[in-house]
Amino acid sequence: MIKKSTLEAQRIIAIMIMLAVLATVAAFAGQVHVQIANAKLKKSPQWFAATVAEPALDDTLEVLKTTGDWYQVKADDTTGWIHKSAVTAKKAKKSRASSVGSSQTSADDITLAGKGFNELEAGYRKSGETVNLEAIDAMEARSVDEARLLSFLRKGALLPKSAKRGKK
Amino acid sequence: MIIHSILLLSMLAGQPSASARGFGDVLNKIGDIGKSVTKNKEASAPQDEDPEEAAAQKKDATLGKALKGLGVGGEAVDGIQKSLGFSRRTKKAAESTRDLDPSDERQIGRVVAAEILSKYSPQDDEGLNDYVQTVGQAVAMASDRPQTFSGYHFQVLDSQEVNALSIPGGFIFVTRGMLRLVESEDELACVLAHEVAHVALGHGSEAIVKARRLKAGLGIAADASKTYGSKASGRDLAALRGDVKAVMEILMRTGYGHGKEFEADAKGALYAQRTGYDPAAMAAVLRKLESSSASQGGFLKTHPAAGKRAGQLEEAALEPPAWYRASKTRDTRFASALAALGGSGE
Repeated sequence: MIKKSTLEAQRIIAIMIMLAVLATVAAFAGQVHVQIANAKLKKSPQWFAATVAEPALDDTLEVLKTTGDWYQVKADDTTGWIHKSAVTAKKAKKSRASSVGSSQTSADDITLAGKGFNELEAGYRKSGETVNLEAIDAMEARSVDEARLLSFLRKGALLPKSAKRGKK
Repeated sequence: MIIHSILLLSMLAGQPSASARGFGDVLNKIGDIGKSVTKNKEASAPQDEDPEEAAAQKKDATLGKALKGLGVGGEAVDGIQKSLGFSRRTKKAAESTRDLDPSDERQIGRVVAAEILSKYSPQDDEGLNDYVQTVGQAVAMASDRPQTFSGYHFQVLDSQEVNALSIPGGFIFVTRGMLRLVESEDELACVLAHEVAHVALGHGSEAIVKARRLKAGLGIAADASKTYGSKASGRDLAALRGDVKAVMEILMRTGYGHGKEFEADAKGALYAQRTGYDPAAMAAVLRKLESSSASQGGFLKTHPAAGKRAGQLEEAALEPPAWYRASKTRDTRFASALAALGGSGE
């Protein structure tokens, strides 16, 4: 009798552990949403890996697995790795676009990413604040594309040999 | 058994990333830095006291005891505690960043950066700006947050003040004065990596969220996402002004706090190392700052003493990556890009 109840207790504990493990795995699976304007899907979970796709802001990606700070995701027919900081589990709030007087499409968000939230900034300057918006536009336009960045690193002997072999 | 499993799951969740594991030695050394940073905070920076962090440290100690109770002891416990202590701070900062939508973070950052650019003239040298952008973008790519909403952007300021500063959203400034202090690309990379670390760890964004909480009168226990949600639907100029003020207050008056500066030094050195640079260059720059009269004024007046910061890093004896080697190309392009600065002051 005592033996039977002990077995029952062990079974319950085993089920609880299984449920806990399943809950953890489930947390890694599912979908994530792109929360930055120029997200990159990499060939492998390394910052210097080649880019295989560039999902748009608010795109939904299916998570296949996770390694460190990277998710392996599927976007349309492409599979690649995206850094966790580029995505969110929460769907974008409608207020993101509406807060700046725009419609709520991701295309508009991308436009805003390129041009700045000009309505709000213009109002800010109009209200008497001293801001050099032209200089910040010039600063934000400055960027180095991936090919040039990797070439810079390679020429400066900064990449490991494995990265040198890695081609698109 | 259940407790053991839960602890095991917690440990897995707290494991450093795969890329960080590759730099296990560095992380352990940085863990040591984190430990002494806490001591330093108690001794020299009481203004940094954070009840949430104190509670987290207490929790770490409790976890250590629990692990010892399960027969996991000695160095293993020390290693786990170091790792947890470090990752907890990073996680907390990352959570604060998540409380702020990246597009909002960029919006606030743009306006703050535009204010800085109204006080300091941008250096009008596209070659130099492009070089700084390239080095900065490289270390940012190897950071804990490779991309912000619209990416990292770097700008040289036409000022003889020895300084560098970062703004939420990824806007990073470095002065001519600072560029004249650094003597190699590795040192420049470390200066920029320190600033990238502030952005990646969400130090400025955390301050915005805290200011919003205070403003909303919800107290420290309030849910920041909720605060943001209600603000986002009715965002207006007054809200933007409040957020900008919170960041400007840090940049101009209070600073991020000594603990966060030490953390940015340690993480910055790690980012530089991941990029392929020598992380020891971080301590080298700090030593130069220490002997420079410039370390007393400007934005740097809010930072811990440069010598103390250098000492922390030197104690950790961070090493370059295995493939590291000196490069003539690196030296040449550094000298060429910075040649425009000339040798005399203003």
